[in-house]
Amino acid sequence: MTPSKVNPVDTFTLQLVFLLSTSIIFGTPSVVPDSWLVGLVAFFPACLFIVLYSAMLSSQHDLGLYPMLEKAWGKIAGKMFVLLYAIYFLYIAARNIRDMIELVMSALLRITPVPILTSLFIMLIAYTALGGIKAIARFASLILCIVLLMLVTLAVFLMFSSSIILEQMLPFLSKGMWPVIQSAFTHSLWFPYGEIIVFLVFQPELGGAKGFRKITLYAFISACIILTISDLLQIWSLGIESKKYSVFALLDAARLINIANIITRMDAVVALIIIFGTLLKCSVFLFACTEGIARIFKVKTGKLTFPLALVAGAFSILVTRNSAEHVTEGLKYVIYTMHIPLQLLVPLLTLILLRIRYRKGAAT
Amino acid sequence: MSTEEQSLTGEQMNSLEKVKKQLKQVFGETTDLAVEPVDVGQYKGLMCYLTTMTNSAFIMEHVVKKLAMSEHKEPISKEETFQQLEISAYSGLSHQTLQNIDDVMFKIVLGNAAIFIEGCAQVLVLDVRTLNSRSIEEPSTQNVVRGPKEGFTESADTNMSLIRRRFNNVKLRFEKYELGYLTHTAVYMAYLDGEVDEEILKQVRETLSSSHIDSLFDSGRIEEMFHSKGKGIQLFPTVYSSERPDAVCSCMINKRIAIIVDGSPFVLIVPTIFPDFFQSPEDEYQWVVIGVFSRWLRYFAFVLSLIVPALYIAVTSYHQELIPSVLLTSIAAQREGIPFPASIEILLMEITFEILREAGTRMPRLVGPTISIVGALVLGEATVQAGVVSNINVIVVSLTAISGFVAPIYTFGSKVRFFRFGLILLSSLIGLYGLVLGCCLLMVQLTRIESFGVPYMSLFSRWDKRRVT
Amino acid sequence: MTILAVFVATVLGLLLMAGLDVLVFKQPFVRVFVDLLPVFPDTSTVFMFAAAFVMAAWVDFKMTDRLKKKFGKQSNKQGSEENRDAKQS
Repeated sequence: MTPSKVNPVDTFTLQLVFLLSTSIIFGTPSVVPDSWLVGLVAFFPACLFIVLYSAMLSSQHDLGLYPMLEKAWGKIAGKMFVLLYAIYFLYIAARNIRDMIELVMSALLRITPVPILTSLFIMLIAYTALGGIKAIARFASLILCIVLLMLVTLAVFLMFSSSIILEQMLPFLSKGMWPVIQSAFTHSLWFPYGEIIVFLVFQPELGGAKGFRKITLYAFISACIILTISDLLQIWSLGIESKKYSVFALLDAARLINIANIITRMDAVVALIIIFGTLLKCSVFLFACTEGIARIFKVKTGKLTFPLALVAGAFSILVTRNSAEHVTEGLKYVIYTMHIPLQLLVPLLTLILLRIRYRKGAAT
Repeated sequence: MSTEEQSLTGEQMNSLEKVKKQLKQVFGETTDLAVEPVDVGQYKGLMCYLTTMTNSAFIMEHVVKKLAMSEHKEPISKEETFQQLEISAYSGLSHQTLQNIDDVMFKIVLGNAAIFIEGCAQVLVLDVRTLNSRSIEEPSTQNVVRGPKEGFTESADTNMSLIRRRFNNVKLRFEKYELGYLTHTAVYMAYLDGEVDEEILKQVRETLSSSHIDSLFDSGRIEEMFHSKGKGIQLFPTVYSSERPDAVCSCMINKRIAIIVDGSPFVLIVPTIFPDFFQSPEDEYQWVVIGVFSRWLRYFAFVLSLIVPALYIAVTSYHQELIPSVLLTSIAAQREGIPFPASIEILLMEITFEILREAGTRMPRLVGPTISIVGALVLGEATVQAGVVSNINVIVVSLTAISGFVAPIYTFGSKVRFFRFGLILLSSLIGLYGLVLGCCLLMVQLTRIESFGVPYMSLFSRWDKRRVT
Repeated sequence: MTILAVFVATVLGLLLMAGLDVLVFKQPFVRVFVDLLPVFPDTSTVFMFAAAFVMAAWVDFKMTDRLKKKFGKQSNKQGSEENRDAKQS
């Protein structure tokens, strides 16, 4: 028995569940036929994120994202960026809550009012976030076991109900490699892989640049493998065309399960996976957001958690008017206006600024 | 010179008359105080003790006889007499030399005999405590089929010897604390020196020595003290208590601290983690596979006891499509003509069961059969036949009830049982979603709690290289 | 300060969402922003925002401590005296 420290395995599971949570259900956006390849292809450029972020971390002796921004951009501009990131995290959290609620509405409850579902859920998120990153990481390991168990169950059941037809993944690469690569660069790279930037906020607690490099690489590899397998499962059971037009492909795949008329309707299991995953992801985002806002307004982090959770909940209802808007917005505009600047451009500029400013500083 | 000495000794309370007066002043007219004049060598002495804390045979055998034997032929001084007594006569008994009369009084209360010698400043205090306590019996909780059958008793001395007997190891340490302003209950902290984490040890010491309680009759009080020390709300018990010396010792090997309270057969273990509550000492004495199997069975039963009624409600009243159609028809057929919705039906039976359980544990042994007949026949059979509740409901409730008792530690089961009601409420309000959220809340809680800085539940901690356990 | 923080987060978040909506619907900003405001048709978000601000205010004005103090005054006179003493000193 020794007092707790953050366990590297827990950090790994935290990042893995974070990467899997919503993308496992929405899959890689199925605008191209061979969507399972997209995840694989996106993995390689995604590794550049690791390089970029760990370079940022190691250049500043494992400072968190927020102090690093302030250091690079000066006091006022730095604070603006901190605020921007905090709002960005809050916005992603709101979007994820919305995703989850949409799925619960379509799979489990059709008549319960949305605000009730949302408010209960955000209370839980706030409670999770209050525990700090250590508790969230331990919770993640629990979630990972459940989610993996359910995925395996799903795969086995699909197999036994003879819904898996390997021919359904043909024609393979009917339009060549180009659409796949394009889709990888426009979608999968930024979501889920790019969202790992949120962990820069906690990195001082999670083990610094060295740990980040290794653990995140492992998390990326595992997430890539699991996502590809789940994509393949969806294609094998649904076929390319119906996967393309289904919003929750894994859910539709689960509906195919039928073993001797006893085990039917496994969509509840899928709903469970997404509820667990979203809970974790949103609490990570919420925690990062509260850290940022608490830093600017010099308030204790814990005091902000519940109000901000409520704000995120309200945002999740306001964020889009219908699911069509939700999907187009998520797939196109959010990526170009928010993910790319905030995940790539600002960190890159910050890194360059840090290098320039502090190389001189070190010399003098 | 001599007058000065006399006045000094007069001040130092050692004239026997004065001692008697003081004793009377402090103890009043209590009947169990024995103040007996004795001869100590050539001098007059006074022996006093509480008759309720020792027995007279022991006093006769070990104290009075030796007082008589300590007579010397040639005259010696008081101090020499005293030393003679201390070194040769009572070397086998635990003894102390005290000066202050208040300390002496306190020792007498704890079951020591004090021997005053006329005109001598020092008082010899002998440990003559012989208490009648329950003999070592088989523990009533945490039963095992295979394994040692000794259980702790109410006497802390016995309990410590039970632990020491299992550890023939110089590293075993007992630290004594006295808790309670009014009761001065002895509390012992046992640990293996060098194994236990210093930080945890410090915290436990701090908690024990900074406690502000006036009485302590059972280790449950200390358990609550440790439990409430953690920050935030803690729904799960964070202190393990056991009646079995082998369970306590195996915990101590795993770098835990045991806390023994005089007067309580339940020894506490800190820090505690979640899997402890699913471990029976018997698991280690069996073939590994059986041990592992029964441990997983316990986890499974724990989950069952939590979610089965809530799941039943959620599925039957919100998500009928999730049930296979054959089962759904049979449930529907059974529920035909039942006046209540599923949630009220379940709540009704759960509360009935809780009442039965409470009655079963508190009632006198002799009326036991009455309760079981009423419980089984009237509440089980008759309610179903009368059409108040459905058969499947009775199955659900009894399954939950039985699985609730699988946890080897009774306190754990009794605490966790209440979460079921919360889940029932949630799932009857918003169906499966509520149930999942409730389970999430429990899981978050589980992973948030820390017991003395040790994470309560950490699945992959055994793969952490930095961890020593 | 908590109220201010929550307020800033709310306003910035709303602006952000309105900006995105401008891109999606290709409508002028003012119109999109008015559409976004949680007044009509679903008013539930108003309550959620209100709850957030109430919580922030609760934390800001230390309501828990105040209520405790008040409660202590009613139930236990000695306690209140001690409190007053502590305040004076």
